[in-house]
Amino acid sequence: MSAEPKPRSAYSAQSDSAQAAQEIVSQLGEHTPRLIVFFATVEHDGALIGQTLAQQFPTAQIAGCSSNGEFTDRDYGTGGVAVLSLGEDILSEVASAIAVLDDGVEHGIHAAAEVLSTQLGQPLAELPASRWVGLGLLEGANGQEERINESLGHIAPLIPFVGGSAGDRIRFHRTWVYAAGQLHHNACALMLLRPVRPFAILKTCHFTASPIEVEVTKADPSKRLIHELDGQKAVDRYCQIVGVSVSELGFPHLLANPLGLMIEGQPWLRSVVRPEGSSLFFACAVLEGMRLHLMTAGDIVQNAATAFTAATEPLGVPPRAAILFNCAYRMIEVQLKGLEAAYHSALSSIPHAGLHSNGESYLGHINQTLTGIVFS
Amino acid sequence: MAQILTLEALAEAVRTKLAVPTEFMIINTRVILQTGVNLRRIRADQNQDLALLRKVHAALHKLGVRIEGELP
Repeated sequence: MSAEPKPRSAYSAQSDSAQAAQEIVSQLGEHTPRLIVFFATVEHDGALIGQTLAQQFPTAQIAGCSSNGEFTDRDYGTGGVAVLSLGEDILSEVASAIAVLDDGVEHGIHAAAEVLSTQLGQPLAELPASRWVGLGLLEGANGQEERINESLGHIAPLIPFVGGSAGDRIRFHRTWVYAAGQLHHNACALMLLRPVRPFAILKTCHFTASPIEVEVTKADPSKRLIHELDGQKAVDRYCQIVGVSVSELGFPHLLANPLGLMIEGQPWLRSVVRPEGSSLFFACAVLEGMRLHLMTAGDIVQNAATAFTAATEPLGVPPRAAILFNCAYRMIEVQLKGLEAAYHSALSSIPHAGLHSNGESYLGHINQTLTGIVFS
Repeated sequence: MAQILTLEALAEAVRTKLAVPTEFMIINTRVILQTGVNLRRIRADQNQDLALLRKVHAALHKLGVRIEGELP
């Protein structure tokens, strides 16, 4: 007899994939989930973990991806597996598919959309958008996220897909995703979820816009490069507004000083990865003509502590579980500041699983945020 | 069929088409990220930019928002 449904998380620090899978199964216990999402270090055998979960929990759709670090409300680390299991008390319907991108992003996403439509019995564009939310685990090493998000907009314009880019210990070499019983490296795991109760989309960061604004006057979005800001060499202008000399510009300055595209008062962060000559290479495409604010950092632990309630407050219901995508830059910041334990403690008021991602997705590709779905 | 000559006119047509605020918000956010044009706050330097008008119109079309009216 199955136990009462409730969100369940599990975490294993085991580096052996078979042992990690068994530990996860043991922690989850006997129940009948609708969806199990897992995040595992890139060295793990994701197919073995996914297939073990599928055998143990045949009622569930299983999806996962590789990570730069994994966390749950139970534990966190780098090199393990983090899992969240959601049952019929949270989700009434789940459809999942894998979008293989080898023949192009648009082709892969549209083929996966056909699979999802068949499972759900209707075209995705005809689903009532207020009752559905998409979940996307994106290939994260090849800079395809802008095109993936655009394609998701074409197949289901009004349904927000929330997710993040798979990680590989920040090497940007090769990531993997798992869904529909298959593991692929150049692919996205796509799910459509119909929550039972109201849900919230979380997209938060600990930065606010400063009054300093720059205009992108020359850029190559396909390469995520900004060549000029305000008509000056991008590196020179960025250093001016940050207040550092070009010769002294280093990673700590880049980490602490992202630029933000402000949309209706909310920042959509664009993180600088490194200078390339006199240009700046970003973790996200930026278009010519866009005006970006220099952002001012706040308290990242406080930001995490209020994330769930801030997201669900407008719904008037308490949060019960969350699937989270936390930017690797946030992971690095809390590690550098010695705040890792406090950060994860702040998040641990509800069952959740997350990964430190190579970028986050919500209607488009974003950087340096904590993004996810919060279920009530 | 009336011509759409400015981004302001295009935005008005989108507002008519997407009367539900959350639907407009989602489509507008996608358009901003893909084109740099905020249909709620069109900048003076963007409003009569024909190339930008066509780019936004094409982005809307791909998002399933078919606007009646011809572009110049």
